[in-house]
Amino acid sequence: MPIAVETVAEAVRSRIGSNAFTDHPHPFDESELPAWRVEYEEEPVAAATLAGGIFEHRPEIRVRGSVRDTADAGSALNLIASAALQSIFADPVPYGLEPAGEIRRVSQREGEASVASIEIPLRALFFTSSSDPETIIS
Amino acid sequence: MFAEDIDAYFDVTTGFALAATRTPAAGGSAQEGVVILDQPGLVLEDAGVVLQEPTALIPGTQWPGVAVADAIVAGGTDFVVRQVLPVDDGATKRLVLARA
Repeated sequence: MPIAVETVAEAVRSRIGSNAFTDHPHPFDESELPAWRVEYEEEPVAAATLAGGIFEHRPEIRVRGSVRDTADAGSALNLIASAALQSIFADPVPYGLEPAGEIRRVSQREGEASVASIEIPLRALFFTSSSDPETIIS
Repeated sequence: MFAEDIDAYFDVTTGFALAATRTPAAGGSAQEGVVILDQPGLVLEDAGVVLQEPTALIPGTQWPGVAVADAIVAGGTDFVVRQVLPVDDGATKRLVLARA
């Protein structure tokens, strides 16, 4: 059974669609584009109760997408980003997901200059029992 | 005195070149020519994507008006010109391409 934050990342991944991955460490081939990676990095955890036993988790979930379009990569990127954001924040929003900082866009300037990428930082909120880090309580 | 002759490299039969055509983005008829086409792989680290980085080497006197956005067809593939870069003394020019 995955640790709780993996469950959250998988929920985000499944909302974006079949071209999103939580386990794609190697570079995408251009034939796979447009494609998304859903990654989790820092995960602040703190006791949620004075008596202990319940932990509050606020992991940062980073959603990174790339698209290839020779004519207008920027517009193509905005299209997929809009669709992904609508899917991620469709009601009901899971695990208290909220934006967490700046959305960053990068366009390839050298070579073919045909790839654009976007990074969307999110933050989730969930609780686990101190004795069971795999199960999200709420 | 030594006089360089690059024609042998741009021979489509015994050299390294392919027949190609250029269609100006500004309008006009297609022009025949030859290119030495390279398509090495490229990893964009920031995006985590593997691409190609196609370029075409042409004789410096060929297609004197070649410019960004011109269409090139070589090796059965359609390209668009992204950059036109003179090479060294201008005997050749390198076109940075994008696959259309």
